[in-house]
Amino acid sequence: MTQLGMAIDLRRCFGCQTCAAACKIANNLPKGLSYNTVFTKNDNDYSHPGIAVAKGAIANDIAGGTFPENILNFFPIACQHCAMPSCVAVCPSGASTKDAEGIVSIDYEICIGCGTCIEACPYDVRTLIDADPEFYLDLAVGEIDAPPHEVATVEKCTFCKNLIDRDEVPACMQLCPGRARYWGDLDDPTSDPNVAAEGREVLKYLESEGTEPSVLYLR
Amino acid sequence: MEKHEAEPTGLSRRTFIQGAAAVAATTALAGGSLYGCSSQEGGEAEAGGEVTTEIFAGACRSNCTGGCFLNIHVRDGKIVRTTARDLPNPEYNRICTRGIMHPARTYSAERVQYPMRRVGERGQGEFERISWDEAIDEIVEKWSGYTEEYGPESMAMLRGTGNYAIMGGAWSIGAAGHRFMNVVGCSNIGYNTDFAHVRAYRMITGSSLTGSNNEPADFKNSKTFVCWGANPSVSHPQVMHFILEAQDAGTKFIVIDPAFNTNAAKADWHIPVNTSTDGALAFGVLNEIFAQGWQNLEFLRAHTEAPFLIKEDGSLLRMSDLGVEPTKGDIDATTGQPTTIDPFAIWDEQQNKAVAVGEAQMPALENIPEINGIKVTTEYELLKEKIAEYPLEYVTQITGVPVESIKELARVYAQEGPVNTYAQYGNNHYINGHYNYWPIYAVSLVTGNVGKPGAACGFMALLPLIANFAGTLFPVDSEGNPAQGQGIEYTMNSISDVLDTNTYVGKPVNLKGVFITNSNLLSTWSEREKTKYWLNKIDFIIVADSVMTETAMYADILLPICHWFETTDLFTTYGSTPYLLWQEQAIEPLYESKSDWNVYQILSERLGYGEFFDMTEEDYISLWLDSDSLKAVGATFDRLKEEKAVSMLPEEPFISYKDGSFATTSGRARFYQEKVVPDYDLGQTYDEAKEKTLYWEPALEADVNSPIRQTHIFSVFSEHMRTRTHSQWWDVGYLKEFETGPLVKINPQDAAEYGIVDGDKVRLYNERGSVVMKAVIQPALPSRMLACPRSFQAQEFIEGHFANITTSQFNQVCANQSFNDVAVSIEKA
Repeated sequence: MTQLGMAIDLRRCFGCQTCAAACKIANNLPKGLSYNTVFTKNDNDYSHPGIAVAKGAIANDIAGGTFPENILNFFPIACQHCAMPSCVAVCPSGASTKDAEGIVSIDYEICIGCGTCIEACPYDVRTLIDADPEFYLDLAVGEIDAPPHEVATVEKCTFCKNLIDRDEVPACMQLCPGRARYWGDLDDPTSDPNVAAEGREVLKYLESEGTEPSVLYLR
Repeated sequence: MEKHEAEPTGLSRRTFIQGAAAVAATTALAGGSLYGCSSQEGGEAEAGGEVTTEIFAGACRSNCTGGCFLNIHVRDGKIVRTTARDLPNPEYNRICTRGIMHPARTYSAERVQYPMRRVGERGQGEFERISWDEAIDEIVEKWSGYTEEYGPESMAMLRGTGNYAIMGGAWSIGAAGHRFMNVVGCSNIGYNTDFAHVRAYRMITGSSLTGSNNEPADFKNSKTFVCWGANPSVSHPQVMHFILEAQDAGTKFIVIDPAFNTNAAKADWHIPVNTSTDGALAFGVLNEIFAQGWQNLEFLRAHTEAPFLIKEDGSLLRMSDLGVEPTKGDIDATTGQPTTIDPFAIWDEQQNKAVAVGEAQMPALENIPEINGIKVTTEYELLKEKIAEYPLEYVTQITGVPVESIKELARVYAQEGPVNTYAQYGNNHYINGHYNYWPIYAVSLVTGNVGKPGAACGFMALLPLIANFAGTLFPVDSEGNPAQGQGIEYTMNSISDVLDTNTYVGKPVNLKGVFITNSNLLSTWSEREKTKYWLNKIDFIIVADSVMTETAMYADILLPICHWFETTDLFTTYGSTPYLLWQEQAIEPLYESKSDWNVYQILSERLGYGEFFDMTEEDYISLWLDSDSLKAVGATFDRLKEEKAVSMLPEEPFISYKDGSFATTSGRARFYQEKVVPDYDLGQTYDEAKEKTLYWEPALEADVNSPIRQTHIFSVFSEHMRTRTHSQWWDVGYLKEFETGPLVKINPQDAAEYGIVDGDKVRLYNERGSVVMKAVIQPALPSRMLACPRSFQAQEFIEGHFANITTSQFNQVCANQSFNDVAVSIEKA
């Protein structure tokens, strides 16, 4: 079996937002749509995401605690490409599927935009495009086969399948300034994420949901 | 790979396109690689509709000094994506939020598309479209007219840091903009930024801009890494992984910073220090080092001027003072005369006499007897005297750092080395800026933590080699006549007075016009009302820019300049990329824009100096590279054009001041300077005693105990942003999804006192001006210290401007804008 996944080293992530910005451009994402959000956390409780400007906060990088005993963490969250994806289980149209590489994908031609998957996903990483998307530029940027962003479809991180199918790397992995991100086949013990996780405390976000997420957060 | 059971019904459009893409051949072409990819026109892959994406090499090159080597993806003649390109040492591969956003900068709605002439009031942004011919005619008519009536110095250039390339840049070393100024003989309006560190570093190490920390690949060799007045996680993100990797491998990471921030969050030890009291903290550390006898005497004797002998008149003892005739050395290229060799004298304990510095077997550091009737003290004794002024309890009062922490920091420097002291401009932007650095770097010197793997002190400025500055900046025409050189050097804070009085330092002057390039001074300079005043008063303003900045709106003639990737250029900087980077022209100049170089060519031709710019871009790059030190590392034109990135380090890893060899006349690091030379002369008086050796005094307004804090109780720290470099990238909408707009960050107790909650409008004000911004509660700040992201344009503020509240006052000898030395009152607005 193949299960593509990621490892994200939370010691290394310093909230620079490069992976989130890279995702926006490579996927030609419209205004207000994020597949990948780097949250700021003011605590050490990784059962909830924290705050992000992309999710309505006034500012990122706001710490917790009392000066100078503060807490400031970062938590990059995108689709977890779960082994047991609740979104796929509930999708009434069959648009959400799990592909041969373990990627949870959405077929935009089949998707009816009912939003059932959004309700089912515990990670809040799916977005319904409920009106004509607005773009920052007239020009379509990023990859030519970026997702179409059509009304009444749901979108989320595609693992940049378009890129990896031509032997390139997911946009968020192309260059992480903190060298915090790894991707590969989690079923292969020698893959980059598994090697990075060796000897580390591994956190799987909301593992209690039974989704078997494919992102390993390294503490 | 196995098929997943949940195979979609039918062939989706997306998989079809993937399939087409997967079979397309990957081809290498001259100038870049390309991959084939089916077109997606109308949502269907069209037969025969092959679209190629070409990849060009280029450099992101704002004044963050990161210098990111990029792949520029061009499809249908448009820049659609930028990604990090492999450098010879991939540890240096780099890109950030800004480098990724070049498609949005290139196609920004704020691009200046054609030449314009102002029709409304200055600053209102009302222009009419004109042709290049009309624009140039008008500029030349004014420029020639002023030159005829008042001399070439009646025009000035104002060169900012918006582009660290040699053709498009104006501030980078050997930049074409600088050459243009020297050719046409106009004056220069100084930039006067970041010079507290430059001055201090020059006093200590003898280096100017080219002095550096060790290269980042060396950080892993440090046992302790002290981030002292630096914010790499935001300001230098590409340096951060070197620090974090070192930390993972066991390096202790210490952050000394007034606020808790991302660096502090990653640190093993955060030492909060009162604002701009770092010099006093360093004095405390030195005090403890001497109290414990931890000073590295071997290093002090061999690599510093500690044993040098200061006479009662303040000059250093030389062998000529002892009757040894100076000898003649090599010919000085600038004077044509032989140099004079008159070695410094030091006391040799072994021979019990004064000898030339190189001949001492055991240089004495203290208690030197009279030598031939001359009373002397050593630099070492002077250093100890200054340190004695800072007992630990006193340092605690000033800095807020507990005695035990000062002692532990001293112990770390003495016993947990090698120590890297990574100090950037955190201490620079205060009126007492340069006084902070000498004591900080003295800690490194006294403990021998300089000049070896893992041990360094200083700014990250990897420019150890010298390009052909003489040939680029001081050209000679075909008849052998040198260019006339620049006119008057004005300080940034003197222009209002110059225009009001037509005098400068007591001399009559006429300043009629200014050519502003690569600068958005209304947003980035301090004390904006003063800038606005003179921009409204001066006769003629030319602005060359690619976007309609708030400064561009003051132009009489506005020239549309290409975006970086629309030109051929060469990146060079003083930052953390140890490479020269080639910029390929990725697309044609958009609209009617021209390159800066092209503008210099046209203007110099029309002003009668065409010969100096009668060359191609590649000719100029060749000229710039024509130096012995660049040739020695193989940084040649042909290699750069072929390989696009060539290291300029003489060896790897690059260790600054290797083996304790400094750039001073003596080759040693200094604790004393014989002659005090102010950076600027506005006829000011100054207290020389503050400048001769290590000294510290508090900041003017930002110090917690400053008298003005009784009236204006908050200091204001201006933060770099993750999404802008100075004011650049302001026009990129995507980035507002990460940083929204102007904000004032405030400690929770302070906010409660004023009844401020998240999102409230708050006015910051003092005698210089005011600004209204949204508030956000930030528990990471100490009480009475506000923090505001800088870099915003006038139209982004609710009211006023952040640059209104800062001062343009200089230190007595250092021409440096003190952006963070500011106190304000606040109220809900």
